[in-house]
Amino acid sequence: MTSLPRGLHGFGLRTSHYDELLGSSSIDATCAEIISENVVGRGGRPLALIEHVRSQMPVFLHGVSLSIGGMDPLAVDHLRAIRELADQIDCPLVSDHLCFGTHGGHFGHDLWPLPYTEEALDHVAARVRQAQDILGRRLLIENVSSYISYRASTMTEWDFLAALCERADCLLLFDVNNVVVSAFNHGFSEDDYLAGIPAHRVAQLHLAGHSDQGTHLFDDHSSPVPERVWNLYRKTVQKMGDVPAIIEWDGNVPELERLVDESRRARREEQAALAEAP
Amino acid sequence: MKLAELQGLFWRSVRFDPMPPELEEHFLDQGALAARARMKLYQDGYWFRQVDALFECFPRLADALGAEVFTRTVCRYLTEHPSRAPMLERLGAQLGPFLARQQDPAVAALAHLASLEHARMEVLIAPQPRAIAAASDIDPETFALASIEPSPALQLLRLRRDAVSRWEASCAASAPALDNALAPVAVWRKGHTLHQQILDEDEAQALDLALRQASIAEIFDCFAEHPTPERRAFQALTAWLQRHWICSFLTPPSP
Repeated sequence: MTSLPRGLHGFGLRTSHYDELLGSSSIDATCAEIISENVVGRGGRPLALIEHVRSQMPVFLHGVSLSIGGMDPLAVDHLRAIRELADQIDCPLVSDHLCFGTHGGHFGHDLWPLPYTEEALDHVAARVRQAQDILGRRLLIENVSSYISYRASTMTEWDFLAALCERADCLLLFDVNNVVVSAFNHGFSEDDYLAGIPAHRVAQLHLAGHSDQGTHLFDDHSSPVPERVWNLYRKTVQKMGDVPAIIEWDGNVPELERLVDESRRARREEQAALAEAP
Repeated sequence: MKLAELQGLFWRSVRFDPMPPELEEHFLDQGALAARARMKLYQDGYWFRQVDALFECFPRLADALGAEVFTRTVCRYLTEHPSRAPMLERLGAQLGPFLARQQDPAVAALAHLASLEHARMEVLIAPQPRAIAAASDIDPETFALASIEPSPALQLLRLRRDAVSRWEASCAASAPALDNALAPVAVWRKGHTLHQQILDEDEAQALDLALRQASIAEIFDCFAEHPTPERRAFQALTAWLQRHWICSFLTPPSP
């Protein structure tokens, strides 16, 4: 297995920045991420962008439609196309979410939570192994933010993720913001979550903003990373080390420089956290 | 309840109003929010995200219908046609035919505008052409029997002329007069830029044959009625090459 990247900080590539990025030969970041569905099997600007950015830094592929927990058959052709692109751009990290988003051949275009049961664990682990066989590499599974819990769940989300890593030999994309959002929405402890995650399995981090709706936190990626998320990021770095971190910003997307600033802050926060680490 | 049944319940809860009565048996009330209110967040997200994507993919149609009628119309469309593609841009694949079936003639008349906007989106996200052919790729020995490998970023449609005019108009206020005569329209991507053009009938017939893998000789027959057929065929082929419509010339296998 090739070694996983470390000490990288960057941001998710969004369409509103394509022109600026295509015209830039020196982006002040050390990695970037693109939504797989925005580039796999398509031509035009997204493909040109990924080739341009790839010449400057590693680009990670992040999927939103795999529906790894769904009951429909895995999209084998889509996974093959991801593998082809990942090989072509020498992509070190390929990820998708712990969720389902399909039903009966239809797509919900959302990341719906799963019940955390033995049945779901068996099902997801088998599909992750199948996906990894097709991808020819280990898949990173990301924890989603959620607003609802199943009565059927028999384990915590972090226990489910830890067990999944063992059964499927997969990696994790640990979304720090999603932990903060879900912890508030379901009343669990962020620290318990962090403690339950196997550090050696975490290969990438996400940072993003959310909004406080009073009754719940809403994971809208429409604002800067809040202090509460930075706080958990520092603890995460102290536990997991200098895992690559990506800033996500999807709504009210600011100027590119603002995103670059956030990724610079991630680098500073990481350095400070590592310096303070016991 | 098994995993598959729980996912079916979740799907019905986000898709349909009212939500199923058994919801509370399987989802938790937590803190200030009951299970039904929590599921409503997913239900709102499902509809908002897809209606929003259709606004982005069909801006001229949305202008023509107005935001309120557009929203109502596409919600009915999404009820009838739940998404079958992982990419949100493909959500509106059936919107044109759906509009054509609507009883309101003002809505039905916009079916071709929807088809044009969807074709533009399909062409925008089409795979990269494998290659771009040049005149120097033509082999004079086999040319007449060769066929054309078209660019994947090229579509030929037959649309009401007023749909094309309406697309070209900047807003509904300057909407053109009704004209339901059909015109052949090519939509293509060259580099990163989208183009569309109404074609002459002979060129449209030639392109239609080319897209169906006919030989160059058969394609050129479409220009036989032109006063200078060879010149017309040459002009068309030159334009197709300049527009990046041709990936390669496919030589027929030797007998």
